[in-house]
Amino acid sequence: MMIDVATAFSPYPAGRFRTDGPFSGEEFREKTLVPALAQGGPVVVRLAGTKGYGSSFLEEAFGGLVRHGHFTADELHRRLSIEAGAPEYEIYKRRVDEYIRRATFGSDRAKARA
Amino acid sequence: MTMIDAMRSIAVLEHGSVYVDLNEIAFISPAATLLLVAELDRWRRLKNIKLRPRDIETMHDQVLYSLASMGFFNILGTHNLPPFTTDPGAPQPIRFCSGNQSDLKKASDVSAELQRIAGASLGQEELLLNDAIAEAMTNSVQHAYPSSLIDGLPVLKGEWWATGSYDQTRHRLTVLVYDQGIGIPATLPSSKHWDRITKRIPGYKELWPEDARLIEAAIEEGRSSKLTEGRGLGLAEIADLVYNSDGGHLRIISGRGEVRIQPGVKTVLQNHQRPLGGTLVEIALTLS
Repeated sequence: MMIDVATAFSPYPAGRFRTDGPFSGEEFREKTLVPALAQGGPVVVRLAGTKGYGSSFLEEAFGGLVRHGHFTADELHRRLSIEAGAPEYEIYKRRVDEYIRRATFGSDRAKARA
Repeated sequence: MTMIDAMRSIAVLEHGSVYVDLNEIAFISPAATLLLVAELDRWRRLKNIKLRPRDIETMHDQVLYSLASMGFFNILGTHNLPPFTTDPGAPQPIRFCSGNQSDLKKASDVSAELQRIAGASLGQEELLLNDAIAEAMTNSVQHAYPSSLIDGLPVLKGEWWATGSYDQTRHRLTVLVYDQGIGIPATLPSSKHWDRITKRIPGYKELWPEDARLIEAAIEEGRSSKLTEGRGLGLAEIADLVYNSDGGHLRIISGRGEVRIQPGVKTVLQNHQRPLGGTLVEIALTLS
């Protein structure tokens, strides 16, 4: 499955939580990424075409997949591909990889239980 | 700040119409103009106070120009301005925008308008500038307003104001994002990264750090560590844009502290006697 962020979600992704705005990282993760990955097949996310990506958005959307215990970093490495789509979006692709790598599996799920 | 303090004092007590005399001001920077606009906007929306400029025809041209460009008189409902001349070399401000969400559309509109009046493109830096503006907005929305009453004054929760200016003499774009929250230094002790931030400040246990040092430590922690959330991540992203630019700078004024970061130059820390009453983030980039 291919997710083109600019057309499937918004050309203006920004903010971490839903309380930050309508196109937040949390909204993208829960409404778009998790359902797509839940189908079981490979998922490609294309980044080009937006007006940018704040680090809060990217960390919550992608790092949040691991922190909230949806998937391990290894599972995402196998099933989720990030496609920059244009040279100026390569920096965001690198950030997504970094945020997934940094995230601790289930750390936010554990906090929620506590 | 004296004028803004006076406006705050009056606004708390008064209702109806209040006159503002700006004739004593000979020069106003874009940052000071934004603070005035935000203050006016706050009282207009919270208390329905109608602030009216007095003797507008005798105001200094530069002040009139800066205020008019940023939309100050539109808030006042004053549409018939006297003719004024402008120094062609003076920074050209753009109309302010405001909101209470992290809004990449408005952020990109600010940078697009600045590039339009500059007649030049930031290229790759455009997206990163959009991100930095949006991150400053996110910080305001998430962290700046833990209460609807700050320093005894009512606030518009989550609200930020943004604008910018273009200085054609120096080919420099400047973006400003301001909120009227409690300020970065006051939010840091409740951060989950507080221990790591304070480890960067020698002797903090014996003597509470000054605001500028706290702001600098939060930026440093964000840039050098593996933060996943908190105010440091957004500040670090804004600082990274400037550190990777040629001739740009970042100035953050928050609480009583002021930090100015410029690549290749020692970071300048200042502490002021009076708090700003919020946080002002100024991002400047030079067009190549």
